[in-house]
Amino acid sequence: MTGARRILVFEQDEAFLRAVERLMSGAGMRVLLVRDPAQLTAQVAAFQPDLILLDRAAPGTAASEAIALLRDTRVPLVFVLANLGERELIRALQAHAVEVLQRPFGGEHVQQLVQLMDELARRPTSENITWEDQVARNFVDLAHRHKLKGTLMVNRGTPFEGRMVLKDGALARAEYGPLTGTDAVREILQMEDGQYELDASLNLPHPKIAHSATELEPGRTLTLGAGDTADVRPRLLAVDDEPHLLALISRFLASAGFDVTTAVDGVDAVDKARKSPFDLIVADLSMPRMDGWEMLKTLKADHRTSELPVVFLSAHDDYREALRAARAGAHDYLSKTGHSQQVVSAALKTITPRLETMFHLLVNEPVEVRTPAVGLQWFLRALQRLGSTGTLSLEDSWGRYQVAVSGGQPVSAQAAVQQRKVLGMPAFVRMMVAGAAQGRFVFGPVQENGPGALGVSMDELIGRACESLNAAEAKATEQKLASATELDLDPELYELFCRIAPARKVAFARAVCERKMPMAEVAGSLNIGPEQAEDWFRELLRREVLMPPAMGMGARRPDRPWTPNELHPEIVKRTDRKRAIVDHVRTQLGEDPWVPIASELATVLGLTPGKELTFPDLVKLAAERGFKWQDVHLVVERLTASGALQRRFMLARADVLSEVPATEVALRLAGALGDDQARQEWERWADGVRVIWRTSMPSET
Amino acid sequence: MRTPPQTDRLSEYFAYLRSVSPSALRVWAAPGEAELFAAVEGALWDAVKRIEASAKQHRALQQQPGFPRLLVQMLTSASIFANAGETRDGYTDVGVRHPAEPAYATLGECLVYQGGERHRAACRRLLDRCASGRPARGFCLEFFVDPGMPEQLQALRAELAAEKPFDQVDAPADHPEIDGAFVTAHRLPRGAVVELLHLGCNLS
Repeated sequence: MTGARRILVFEQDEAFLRAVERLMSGAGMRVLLVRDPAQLTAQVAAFQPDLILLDRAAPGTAASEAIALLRDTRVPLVFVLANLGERELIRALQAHAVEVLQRPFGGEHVQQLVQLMDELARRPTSENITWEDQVARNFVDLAHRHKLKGTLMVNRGTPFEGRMVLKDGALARAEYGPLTGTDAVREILQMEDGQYELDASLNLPHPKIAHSATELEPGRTLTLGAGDTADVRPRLLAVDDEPHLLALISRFLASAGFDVTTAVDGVDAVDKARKSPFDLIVADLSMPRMDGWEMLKTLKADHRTSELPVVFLSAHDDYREALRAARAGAHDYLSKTGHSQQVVSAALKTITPRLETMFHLLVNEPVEVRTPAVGLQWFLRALQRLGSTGTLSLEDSWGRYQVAVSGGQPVSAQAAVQQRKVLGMPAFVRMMVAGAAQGRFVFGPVQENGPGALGVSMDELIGRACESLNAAEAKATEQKLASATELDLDPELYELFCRIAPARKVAFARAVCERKMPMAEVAGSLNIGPEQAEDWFRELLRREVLMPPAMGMGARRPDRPWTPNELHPEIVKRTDRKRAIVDHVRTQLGEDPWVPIASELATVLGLTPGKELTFPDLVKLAAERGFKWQDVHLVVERLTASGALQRRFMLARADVLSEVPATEVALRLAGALGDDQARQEWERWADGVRVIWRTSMPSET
Repeated sequence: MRTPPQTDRLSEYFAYLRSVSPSALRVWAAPGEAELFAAVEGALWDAVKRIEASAKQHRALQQQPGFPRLLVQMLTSASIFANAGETRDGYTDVGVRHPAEPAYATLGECLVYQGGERHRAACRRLLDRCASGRPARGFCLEFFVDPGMPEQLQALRAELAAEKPFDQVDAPADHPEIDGAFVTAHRLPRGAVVELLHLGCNLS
């Protein structure tokens, strides 16, 4: 059977390609080597491989481009990694890999791939499974395959901590907030900015995670005395548009030892955060001009503020909103209805790793540095504040980095990344992007005029590095902007985006995604600046609403089973139905507010046959989503007329489950329009009948 | 401001529909085609009055298919199954069905008033659509964006009275409920007679 198997290998390393070709051909497989990402789409379409092998960490943008291109293909992806750390493993799984292999590629990998293909062939082909569930399944299968054991933790020490415990390859326990089991696995693997730690290995050599020696015991947080910490008080930015609440929160936080600055909305907060460094932001979610979500996104998108932790305060105590906050990269989510002490505790808990680090620096003790927990910029500024002298050495799967600091100011920087030695500013920039690097700061004299001399202040160094990184990202976005019309739209993600994004952003997305309007024209029509337009466009790319052109896969083999790297046919069908509904409403009723409501209804109902909706449900839905309930009702009636929903009349008695035909309702009503007695009888009868709307079976629409 | 039904009960649902369009329940309760025509025309009249009441806001639409959509919105909000077809050459086909008995239906044409010739063309389209069988009565709704609707409707009526186009069997007759509207009857080639309601919506 293996003779018929086809493997496509995408790589630019000739030695690797030759090794794979030799070994796989030797095992009777057909191998196609692809070096040019521009050729990948066509080659996959022509060769129809059973498996694609590629290096996730290939230099430049080749790998990420390839992954984006392959996102919706039917072909399972196997990543070959130079270093197999927990971060790389999770990133690979999130990119929908079904397996990861570690270099160098050898004979044992051939057998592994054969077994993997056998396993994939046994997977059921007719399940209705979401992308997220498939990622979770891929992880569980991979754990089983490797008999993985240990604990995978995410966001350790934060309120969004999640963990999965694996024993001999089986999932023994998974917890994430109130979720458990596979639900928890799914959510943990979807964390956008999660910090993962895997306390185990895939039976392959990889460095064990260095845990902070100064880690607190579970449940313990530090408390601050305002008088004791005058010089190193954590700087906190409190953001709220309600002045009395802002004053109240600020007072409590200041009395707990924070140096509090206030901002009145997201715009003000971003402005202040860019101008001076803070240790933490505590912000309201609902604010004018720029709400909490937008503020968080803006902060995360700018290297100057990307590592600033944010704690959200919300008027709602909504678990879904808390999950959304976690996914968006917030450190905590609290209800405003709670006690102020909870806000203080959450703020302290969030910055506990930084406080610990600061105290060690204060007494000139060597410090274990985990950049995901404290942030590199924060650590360097802490050195600056304390006037420390010593050497910071960090390491991650990409390379090793070193910065010498004297009296709190940078002296030199060196980096060794993928066998290349880099000095000075370029070395420092590489260190800045090593978000998961870990290592140590050791006090002691440093060589003043050694290699990689920097000759700038700490503020200037960080500022320049951030500018350089922001500029590089802006340039990449610009390139993508230039080819915006060549991008593909992911309808599912687009619909989701339109559901959750603010109205103006949705209008922007529509203009770009549906009407293909040039960016300048969109910015002009929405009265936004080019920077804002670029920012919003970048968000569409980051959320993968827009992607590089997909495969020319028109000639897919019909008998080919579904594999994990594509949207399940049922999902595609559901998406088509949603689109049909939205199009129908657009044609019949026009654009606003009807189309957003139809889209929302289609999403809420999931168009799963048999889902029910009552009038109070639609009133509630309208209130939650900010629509007029009359408009929602109108769209529901419209969908009823079109057949997407069915209006049913059910007897309300608990002991009777009986449907009343619409013709009977009409007949009884006709009788009731005659005289008073008949009308009273009708009222009594109609009080005992429920009206529901139910999603139709596909054949009924 | 109407209040939404607080429960899922039929009594509350219908009370709400009645508040949206007094004719809505007549449409629901219509036992036959003749009653449906009368009820739908009542609902059309309710909708036209609502559109006219906020004419200033709607005048901005100024074009097809905005006006037929508006009509569909009004009827749909009262749970009356209305459907607007594609707009071609400024004419939009509209269909209205009984909410409980889909076999009962009526057809209509919507257009922005641009003179008698275009109105007659709309009547021709409507009669063609009725030619294959049901329904026996349709409507032709003109949206008047310029002032002078009553006079123009009168002139239209006079033209139809004089010309009797499309095998019109008699002079136009007043509609019993709708101000300024009139009804004409036309004999189809197969012998059946189809009645057309001619009404206007004043957006000036």
